[in-house]
Amino acid sequence: MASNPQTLTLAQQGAKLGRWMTLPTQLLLVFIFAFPGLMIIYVSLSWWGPLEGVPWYYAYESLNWFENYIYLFEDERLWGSIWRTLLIMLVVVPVEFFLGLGLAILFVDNFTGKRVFYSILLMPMMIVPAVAGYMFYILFQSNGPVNQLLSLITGFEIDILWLSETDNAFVAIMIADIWQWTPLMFLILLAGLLGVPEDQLKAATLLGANWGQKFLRIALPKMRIVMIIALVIRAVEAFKLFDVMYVMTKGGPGVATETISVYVYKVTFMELEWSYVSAIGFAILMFLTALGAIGIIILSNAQKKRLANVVD
Amino acid sequence: MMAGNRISFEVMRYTFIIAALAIFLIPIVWMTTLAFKPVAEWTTAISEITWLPKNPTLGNFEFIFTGQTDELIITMPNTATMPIIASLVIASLGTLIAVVVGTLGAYGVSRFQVGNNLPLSVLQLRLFPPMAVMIPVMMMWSYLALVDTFWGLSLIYGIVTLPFSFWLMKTFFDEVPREIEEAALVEGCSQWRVFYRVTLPMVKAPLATTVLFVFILNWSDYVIALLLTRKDWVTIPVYMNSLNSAMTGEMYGSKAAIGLIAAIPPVVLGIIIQKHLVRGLTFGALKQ
Amino acid sequence: MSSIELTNLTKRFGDLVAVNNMDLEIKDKEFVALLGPSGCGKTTTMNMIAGIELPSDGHVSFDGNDITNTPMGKRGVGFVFQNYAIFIHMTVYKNLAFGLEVSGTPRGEIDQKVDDMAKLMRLTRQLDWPAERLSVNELQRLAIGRSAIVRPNIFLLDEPLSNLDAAFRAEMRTELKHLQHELEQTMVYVTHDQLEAMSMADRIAIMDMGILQQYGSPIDVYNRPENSFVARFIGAPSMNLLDGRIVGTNGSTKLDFGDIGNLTPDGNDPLAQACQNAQNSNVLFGVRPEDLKIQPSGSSDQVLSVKVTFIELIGPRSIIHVEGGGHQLKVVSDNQETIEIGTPVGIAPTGRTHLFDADSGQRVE
Repeated sequence: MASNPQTLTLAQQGAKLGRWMTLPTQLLLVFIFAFPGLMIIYVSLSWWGPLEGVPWYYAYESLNWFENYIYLFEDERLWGSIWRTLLIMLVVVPVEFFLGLGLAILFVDNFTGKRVFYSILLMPMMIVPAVAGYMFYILFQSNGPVNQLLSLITGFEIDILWLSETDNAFVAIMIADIWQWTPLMFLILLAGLLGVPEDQLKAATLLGANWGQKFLRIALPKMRIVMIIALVIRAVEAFKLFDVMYVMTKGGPGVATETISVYVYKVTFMELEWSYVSAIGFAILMFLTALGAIGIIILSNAQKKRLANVVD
Repeated sequence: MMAGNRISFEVMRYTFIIAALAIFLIPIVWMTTLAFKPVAEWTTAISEITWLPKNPTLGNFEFIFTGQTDELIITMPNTATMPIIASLVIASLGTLIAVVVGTLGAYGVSRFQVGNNLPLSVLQLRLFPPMAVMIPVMMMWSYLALVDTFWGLSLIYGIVTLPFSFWLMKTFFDEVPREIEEAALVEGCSQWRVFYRVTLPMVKAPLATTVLFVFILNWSDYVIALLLTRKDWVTIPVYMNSLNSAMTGEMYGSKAAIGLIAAIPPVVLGIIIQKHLVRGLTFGALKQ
Repeated sequence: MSSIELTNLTKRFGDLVAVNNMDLEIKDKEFVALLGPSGCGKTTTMNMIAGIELPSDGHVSFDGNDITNTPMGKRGVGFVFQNYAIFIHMTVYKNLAFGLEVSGTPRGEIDQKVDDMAKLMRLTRQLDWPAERLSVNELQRLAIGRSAIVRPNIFLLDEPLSNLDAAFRAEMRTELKHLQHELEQTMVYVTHDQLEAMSMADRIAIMDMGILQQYGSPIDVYNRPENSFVARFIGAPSMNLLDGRIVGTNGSTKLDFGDIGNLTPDGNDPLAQACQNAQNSNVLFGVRPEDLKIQPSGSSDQVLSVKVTFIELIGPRSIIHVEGGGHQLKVVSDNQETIEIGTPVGIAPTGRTHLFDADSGQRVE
């Protein structure tokens, strides 16, 4: 396009500047993906660990190919931690979703005190997670206020061992997670509800729809994307769960409440089996990447289908 | 009939909201009051539990800042001063890295159709649990002598929060009408000057929001600091959870005091950027 | 089947009075336009009829039954929103069927009614399309059909044509009027476009600043505006209103416009009577540009002397802007003679004239 080959067109100039501007991001990504990625694969194919007394690049000396990956399938503690992570995810995410949705519905129209209530409701998610973990750690002490409140309500002397009995510890951790992240669901879903076009709700009312019909037929379908975003974000974060749990139970009693993150942390620092941890890490990365790719394919297919529908 | 419905709905609304508020506030209140309780009230029999301190004291704060207090026989060599400085320095520097790199990258992607896969790759950073990649990162960090240094931790914070700054700024840039920039270009401004002098000033407020949001995230980290610091640059959450004494066991009140200090900044900043939280938490996908 | 009555209807938003003590009666099957500039309270009035907003004072009745406190959705009112408020996540069929489905109508009956309505609205081919694929005119027909299918007795339309381009608007005006006949319903139509109101409505209610200014047939409001606001608002180009004073005494009153001269009304002209009634007061003299004629300059008691300042050509006619003695007027001319800018000319009323009190703005007759 350029009449003069010496000068760059605006678009070429832009592309050049664009490459420079994205360079730092690219570099950081390469820095954090490429080298650790290669290293994790390399080390995971050996027996190498920090106690070997040789630097990691000598890992080829103890090359074992896929032994670590094979062991991965036999490791009951790993699968236990995966199962527990999923269990926590499957409980807390829906509970947070419905509690958040319920609260959001109450906050759609205006009422006295709305702003203050809103600010307070958001507080839990702004608390540093490790501190939130500590809050629940002290609440759930056997001589702590939770037992006291339960005693007051029931009239019996209650001294449940919340954190040192497996099932109770699970419940305590889930309660802590629900406490901290229901506000996030509330926040996102409220934004979704407020985004439902008011005219369409009025139109539905004028056509005789009652509250439930409006909610189910107008609001929910319009919030589909918002709900998916909220659920995905929470599911991803719940999968990573570490801070609250580590502070509250350190995965205990024993290994009873270990999630994947806590398990990996322990194998890293207590058993020092770094090559095995690398194998686990790499497997998780592959699994999540595959999951992400599937998600993106589904999304873009849905997009294409919609476009096709519109063009037709 | 209708008025009756209205009133019963309002009663229900306030009942639910106040119940939720009570539940949401219990843990915060309990830790706050614990921070002001003397040692004798840290752990008691259930029947003697009180929600407000009987003898309020600042001893817990005194202890974490000076290393001693009249109430405790032990002294502590590591006071909370350094961890607080460490948290401030590292979270700020990490925020600076994330926001500068993210803003540049976001503008490049938003305007010049370069780096098509970049947005998704950046997002992937947030998908992976830090634990899964921590071994190589720790090895790399120790190889580069970055462990337990403020720049080392700042760097990884900058990387970990890059998805937020990148995506947030990208959606903000996408919203700036191009016509304004084109007008400046037609007048002969270079592309870089247009970015620096025209576009950036227009996104001043969103940029400030992004800074505060990323700062909250960095301030709130526990796991990365746990892995990449040892003693010189431990941050507040790591410091807090190391506060145990062999002699007296758990330092309940002192931990509550430092916990309170850790909790306040994000809550305050969070309330300041309340309107934009949805946007931040959903990587810019949703607005309120 | 349904008449509407508004009595003392008032809506306040804080200190702002959006609708002030409004009385209006709309007959069964009548097509009434609520016309006024933006912010005049016309939409608020309609929202109160629909129940979207509750009045601060006063009553709304349908067929003599007070429905002021009946919630919206229970009033049997069809409402077409300015942006149509189509449920774009549904198909055209689902949109049409919505009102029937929520009331639990049997499936077979729904199918039948949707088919009929689709035919009437010429949407049969599009029934299975997602509503987001429709063009603007289809969206509008769908919006009307969706409201009409539940057979409301009253139909309210909020500026339904404002999203359309000019050419298409003309087409839709005809179509709407036609539909109203077909549906046989009382229609209230909010608009700020006088052309829409004049061409479709049986009666026009003109509002300004929350107050009903005049209520009458299009001819009525055009020929006999009740105050200076209506005079200025109706008609394009708008009516000339000249500040003047009535001087003289019984039998020989004339209108004095200062430097540009004065007019002595003919004895048979209704203006003479009006001048008689407003002796020695300041008035606004109204005359439509179409009712003025350019004459050779000269001083007569029937001609005002002014200068041509600007000529606007609009097809076969031109609007001649003239000025004199601080007054500015427009004259519609049929291009019979050539006039040049800057030439002094005379202008004389040739048709209907109006007189308004300078202080109250009310018509004087």
